[in-house]
Amino acid sequence: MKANPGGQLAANQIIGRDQLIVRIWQILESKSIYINDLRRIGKTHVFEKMIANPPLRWIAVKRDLESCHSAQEFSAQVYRDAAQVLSGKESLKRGLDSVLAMFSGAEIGGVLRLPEGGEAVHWKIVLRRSFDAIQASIAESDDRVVFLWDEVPYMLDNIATRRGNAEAMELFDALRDLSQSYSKIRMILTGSIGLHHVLQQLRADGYHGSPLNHLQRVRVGPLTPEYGAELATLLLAGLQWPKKNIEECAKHLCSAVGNVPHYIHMISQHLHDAKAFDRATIDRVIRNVLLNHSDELDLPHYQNRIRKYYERTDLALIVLDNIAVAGTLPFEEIFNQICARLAFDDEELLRGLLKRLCDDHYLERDDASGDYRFYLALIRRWWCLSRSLTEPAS
Amino acid sequence: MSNAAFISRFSPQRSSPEDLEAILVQREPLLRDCVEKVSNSILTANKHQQLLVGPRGAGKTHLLTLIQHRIGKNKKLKNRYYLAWLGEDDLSTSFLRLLVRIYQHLQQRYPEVFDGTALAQIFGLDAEIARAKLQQLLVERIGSKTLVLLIENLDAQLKQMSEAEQRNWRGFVQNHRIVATVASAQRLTDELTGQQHCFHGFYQVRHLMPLQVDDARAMLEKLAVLRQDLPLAEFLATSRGRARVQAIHHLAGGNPRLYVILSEFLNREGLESLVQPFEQMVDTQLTAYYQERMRWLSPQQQEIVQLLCRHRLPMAVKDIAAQLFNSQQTISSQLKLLKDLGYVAPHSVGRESHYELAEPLMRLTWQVKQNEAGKPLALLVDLLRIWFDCSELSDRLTVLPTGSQIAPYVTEALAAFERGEPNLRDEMHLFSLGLIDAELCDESELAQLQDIAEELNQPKAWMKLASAMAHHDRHDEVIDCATKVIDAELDDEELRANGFWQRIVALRNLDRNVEARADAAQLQTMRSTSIFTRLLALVLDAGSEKSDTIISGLEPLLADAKSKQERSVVLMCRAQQYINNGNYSSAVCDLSEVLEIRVTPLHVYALKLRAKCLVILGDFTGSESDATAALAVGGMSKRDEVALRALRGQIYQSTQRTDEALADFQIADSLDLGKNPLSAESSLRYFFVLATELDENGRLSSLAPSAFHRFLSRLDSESKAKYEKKDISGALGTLLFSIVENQSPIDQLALVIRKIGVELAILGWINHLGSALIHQLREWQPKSYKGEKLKRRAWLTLWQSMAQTHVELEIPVRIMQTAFALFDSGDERVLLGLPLEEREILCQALAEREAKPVTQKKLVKKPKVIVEKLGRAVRQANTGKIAKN
Repeated sequence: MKANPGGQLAANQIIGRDQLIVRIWQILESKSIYINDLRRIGKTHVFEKMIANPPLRWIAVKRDLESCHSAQEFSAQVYRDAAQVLSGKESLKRGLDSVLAMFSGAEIGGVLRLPEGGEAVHWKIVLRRSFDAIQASIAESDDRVVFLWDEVPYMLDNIATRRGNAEAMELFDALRDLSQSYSKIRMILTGSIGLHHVLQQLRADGYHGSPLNHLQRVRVGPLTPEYGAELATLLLAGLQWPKKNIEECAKHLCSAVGNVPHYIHMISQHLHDAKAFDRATIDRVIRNVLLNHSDELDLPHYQNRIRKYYERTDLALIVLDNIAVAGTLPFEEIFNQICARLAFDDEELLRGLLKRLCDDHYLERDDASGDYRFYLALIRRWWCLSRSLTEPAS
Repeated sequence: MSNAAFISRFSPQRSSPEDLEAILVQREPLLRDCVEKVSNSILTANKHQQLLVGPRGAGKTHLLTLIQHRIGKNKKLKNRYYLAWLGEDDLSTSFLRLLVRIYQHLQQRYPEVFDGTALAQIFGLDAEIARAKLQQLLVERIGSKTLVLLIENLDAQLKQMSEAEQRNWRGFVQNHRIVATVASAQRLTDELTGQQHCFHGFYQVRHLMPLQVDDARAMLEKLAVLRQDLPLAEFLATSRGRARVQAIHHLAGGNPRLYVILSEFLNREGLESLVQPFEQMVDTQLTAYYQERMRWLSPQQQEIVQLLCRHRLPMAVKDIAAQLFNSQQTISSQLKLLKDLGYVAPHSVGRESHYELAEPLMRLTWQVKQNEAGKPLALLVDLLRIWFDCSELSDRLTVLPTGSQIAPYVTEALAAFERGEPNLRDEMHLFSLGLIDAELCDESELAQLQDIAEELNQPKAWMKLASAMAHHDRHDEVIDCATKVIDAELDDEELRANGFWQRIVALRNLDRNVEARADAAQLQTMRSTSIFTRLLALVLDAGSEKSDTIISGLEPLLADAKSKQERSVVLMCRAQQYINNGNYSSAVCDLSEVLEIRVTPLHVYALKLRAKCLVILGDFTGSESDATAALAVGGMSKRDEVALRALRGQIYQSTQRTDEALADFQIADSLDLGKNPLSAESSLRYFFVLATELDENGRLSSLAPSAFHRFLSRLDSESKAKYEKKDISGALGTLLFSIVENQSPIDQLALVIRKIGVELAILGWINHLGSALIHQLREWQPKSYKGEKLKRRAWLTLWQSMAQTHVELEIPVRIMQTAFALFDSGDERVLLGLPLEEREILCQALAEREAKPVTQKKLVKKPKVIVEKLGRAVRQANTGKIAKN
């Protein structure tokens, strides 16, 4: 297996996501889903694997939406995808043709051009009618359809930029309505940036909707150690250098990068260039990446973001510094440590800050104890290096 | 392979791929990997998006050309892909225009598939419709094949596009899974890395590293072979040739394009045709690019870069600061930023950081910009000066035709020689010498050092090589190099002395001791060399046992000592020799003088040594004062601190200052030196204070057993023998006393007692513990205090469990059990449960007068008798001959 950080993988090379995918299909039985997680954690690969092998009676439609710049384009894309995937169903075709006929629209080169002057209404109706047609075409069967929509936040951002916040808000609401109104159609929304960022911008402009409330939130997260080791083993086996203790090195590698597949691919790539792999080389390569190539991962983003978007930068930095050094900390200890450094006594403010740090994927909470820790081991390590804190033992 | 290979210095795409293959160095693994990934993208559902990053001239286009060439030759890939190559000047402001360019390139290569009519129908449409239609057209025409997209200057391309257009691009790639990209960029821009941008983490980044010297040499050799310049190829394989390349390396900075240019210079026929197109290349291709790059910098940063452009060699931070009239701190932080931006590259020379341009072509461009009309470019003149000797340049000049374009360059190079300017080649070599760390150099750097030394043929170079060879244990070669230094005509006696020293050490390593001593003797006569070197030679010559010889040999060194430091070192050495001889008074005199001179760090060592001497001479006050002063200065090794604290602790103890003694012993005990007599002794002293002195609450410390355990665990074989002679039983008696008499419940101390048992068993001292147990039995006689029976029971239980692990304790514990039964019942008949021998032991132990608490000074000697009796009892038990009454 060749290292391919950032690239597109064949479904059989997407390792370790089967259990997550099973869970997702189970959730889809009753709800639509919003997947929110860090960039490069593997959300798109989950989609790839889902469409490669959907369960019986599920029809999956995947679409990257970042090139949609208007709600109209989006609705046209939905129409086109529906037509393509359900092309065998005459009933669907009749339903979709009726959409065109109703509005004397024409499809030009695959782009649904609707008459001028009615766009703001028409795109909603196109969406609604497309969904109606899909629902009707599968009503008598056990089939269900799921739209796997990638880069939804980019699309909404595009729309807000080009067409204005109002259209983005309307599309948000339309998506909510659609997800609640069709029993046999589901959707999974995800993207490189969190929807909450786009929502924040729209709320500043007066948007009061809660488009995500009805969606089940799912996090992809790193692989389990077993699957991380499996992936690392396959990648190291693909290198041309002498292979000694490959399994031990694989475990060491994936443990050092917190079992994130993208990082495992990336470090394997660097090991190819290092022309060797053993524990010492792996450590050296990772350290070199963190110190000298941190821009490839845009690790400074994690610090810059704090300074740019967090009102209490001082608090956030103390929290992250302390957790980086300690590994995990309960709320009480975090609070005490802050009080020891600052004149501070606002527990609720701290709780809010910690929640935000979790939403922004700096931190996560331990399931059992509720203690806070860095979401990704590599980020924690970089944080220590960049801020000259005690590095965690490897 | 072509006869007169046209390696287009400016555009590898115009060179034949076979020639480009022939001159490839360093990057074969990278190229192979890139090609494999493109193949993987064509043959499977995987799609790799690769990005080669390197400055101008780093070889990106060379690699792209070879990628195209290799996948074209692969029969497995035939008819399974389409390839489009977007060059560096082909920039688009929208994804639609990018698609058009791609289609047009495909149309040129595959006109039967990508016809112009279809494209023409798209022009004039609304942009959104055109994009959608063109996407659809491409997807249809590409079908099940893969589009291999080679795209240069990706960083610049993305800068031309808005974020929205970039998302269109990425969305197309993600939705259609038909594109495999190999792109190149000069640097990683925010559009490629920033998390807020859509292409973050999208490409696999491969940095093109600068060529190392060996790679550069190999490349030049390959170019020479390609041009059929065999004499040049052969020359490059020699050590002189390698050294020449090493010298040029600093100017070329590992940039392949510059080496290709250089190769033209080395070829006489190429020179004439080179200059004008070369200057044109710089003017048209490089100038605009570097001007743009300079514009991104702040004025201060531009100044730094321009200064480095003016200098051939890397500059130290302090020198840059001085020339720019700025503080080192400011310059240092600016250099860090410039390094992160890829403008400068750091080098460590000794402890200093030096910086040079990361892109040597920038220097060339700057020179062109600064150049007065008609003057030869400085970089090319420098290259000539480094590569050719003065005589070679003269020869060349005589055969150049009239009006030759290269003549001004050769003339200028010769003029530099005539002006008496430093030999540039030697300068470069000396700088390279400074970069290589003799202690840490690997085999490759060692080979480079060898080449430089042979080329330079200067003592400093031979000396450095000798030092490096020494670290690689190549002693014969050390001797050769050192001999060259010794035999050279040198004004630098220090250097010659170092040569002697290196040779002495190498000779001793080869057991050529007679020759080594001869060198040592000679070294001592070199009165102009440093005292330290002569001192080392004296010690080496005299060996470690001849203190008198060394003491007398130190007299002339004392007379010759020029500085306080030198005098202090010699005095310290003499004091140590006096101590070895037992002449502590003389040692104190020397050490006192060292302390008056006050040279750190000798000051601390002098205090330490004098403290030891004074205690032996009986001056406890002086010794305490010295030890205190030494400890106050600090910075000493753990071992020294342990020794000093133990020494001072003993002084405190002897003068009844128990608290101070305890503090010192406690610190000494905590400084773990592992198995070490000094460490063991410290723990034992600490133990005795804890075990015998009451704390402020009138109690014995419960820490004593732990201290005793540490004492045992720190004994090595030498110190074990020492304590065996001193009778360990006394210490064990004190241990038992401390356990019984402190207020902690006995079972709380069970763990440490078990650990002590293990250590004693390892040392073979369990028998002594047994005898100490018996000897202590009298302390358990009834005293009518509350809980005494319970306490006895707890004690017995503890040792019964110990006896299960240590069989040597069975008899003592049995005796103890009987004794306690006697104490509890008062009935002497219980004694009859013991065999006769054991009964006698018990009676003897109980008959001894009640003793006071055992201290270190009051070790009871009687336990020896008990040990002997115990031994007999054990033997009798083993042989079953005990007569039971």
